[in-house]
Amino acid sequence: MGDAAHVGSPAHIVFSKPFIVNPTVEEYDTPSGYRRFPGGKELPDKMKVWKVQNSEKKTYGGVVARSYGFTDSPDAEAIVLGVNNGKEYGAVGIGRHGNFLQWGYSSPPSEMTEAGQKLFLNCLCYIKKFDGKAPLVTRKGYPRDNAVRLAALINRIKDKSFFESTFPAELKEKYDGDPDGLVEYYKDNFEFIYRERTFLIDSDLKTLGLSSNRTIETLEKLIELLDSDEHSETAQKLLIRYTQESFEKREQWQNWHAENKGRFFFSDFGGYKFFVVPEGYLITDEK
Amino acid sequence: MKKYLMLFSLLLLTSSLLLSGGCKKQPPAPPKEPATANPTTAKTPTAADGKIEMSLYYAGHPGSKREKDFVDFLNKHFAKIETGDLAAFDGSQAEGFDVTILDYDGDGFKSPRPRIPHTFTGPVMTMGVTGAFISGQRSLKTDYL
Repeated sequence: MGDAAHVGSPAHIVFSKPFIVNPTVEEYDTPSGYRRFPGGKELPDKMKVWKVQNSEKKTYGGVVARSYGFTDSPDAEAIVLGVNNGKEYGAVGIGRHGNFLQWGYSSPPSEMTEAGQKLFLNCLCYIKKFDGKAPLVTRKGYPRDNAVRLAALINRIKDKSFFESTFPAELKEKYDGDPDGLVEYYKDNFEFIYRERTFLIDSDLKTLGLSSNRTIETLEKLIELLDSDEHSETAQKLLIRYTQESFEKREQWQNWHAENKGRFFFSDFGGYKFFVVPEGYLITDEK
Repeated sequence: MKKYLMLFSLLLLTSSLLLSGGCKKQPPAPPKEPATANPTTAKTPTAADGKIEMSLYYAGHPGSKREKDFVDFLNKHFAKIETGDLAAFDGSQAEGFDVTILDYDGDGFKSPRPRIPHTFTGPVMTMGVTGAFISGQRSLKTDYL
């Protein structure tokens, strides 16, 4: 990542408190690196940006975090998207996960712009609020967007073990050498992707007529299906797959759901599972 | 007896009027701030010199130009800054500080990787490539990859 940030929503509190951040907006050519990623070809020729710093390096030196799965848990937020040429558009230049706020830019304060300095000060004031708020999830899985991203690369990666280590063996005969076909396969089944060593499509979930493995409605439907003679075994298997619980009795699942209703979330990053936000964890103030 | 009773009643009435501030109706007492008032909506407290009343611990490369750059800047805006060595940081140095900054100069790929226990939950700002690798040690979303 270089010196600049994409112009985004100024609604976040770090753009106004305690100092008003007034970025100077300019236009850059869209970084060529963005075009390699899903959605990259549809980006315009130019994008609005603003400089956080004026470093000697200008276009490199900093680091962005991948956007895939970044916001799939309520303990994380993307504050600024960093202009970069190594990862996708949307990669995170300044972001928070739990009690850690990562400032991905490389320069010390003397090289920051006035707006960058104010943003830096505001971020220090902001992260103070998250004392004691450890992350709710840590990396246990690669978010499903990576299945699409990596599918597009199967002809460009020369390592022969890449396909077998990323995608199920049964897909090799049909899609080896056909990145477009493999991309379409994962896009068509996007809501059913999960990962156990490779990126799999959940056919068990499909047989139940459900539309996604990551919605609260699915969790609730699976618990309901524990009452069904026909589907209870599959429902039980999927509840074990997608939660951290291993209850054996229907009543235990029902009680667990009732106790935590309204506080569930699903995280690919956390291992393709439903988690529970502890009571009192979220800070519900202005953003 | 009746006279005394009347006098007594008058005295009672007079004292209650005096205590209540006369005949004026008192406005209702303002509602108390709820005990769980969200501290995050409070204004950033500032000292008389305009500095933000926060204490920061900067763990970086002691004696480096980069450390001086950060400290000179932060000293203008915050009430208290202390510094230390990122290589030696283990979380305990942050005790008593509002926010810790973890930073280093030079090539972030070669910067120290402090051993911070996973029980450490104080507010931290991690900087640049160094920060991304520290995030990676903790398997956070803000890591390098």
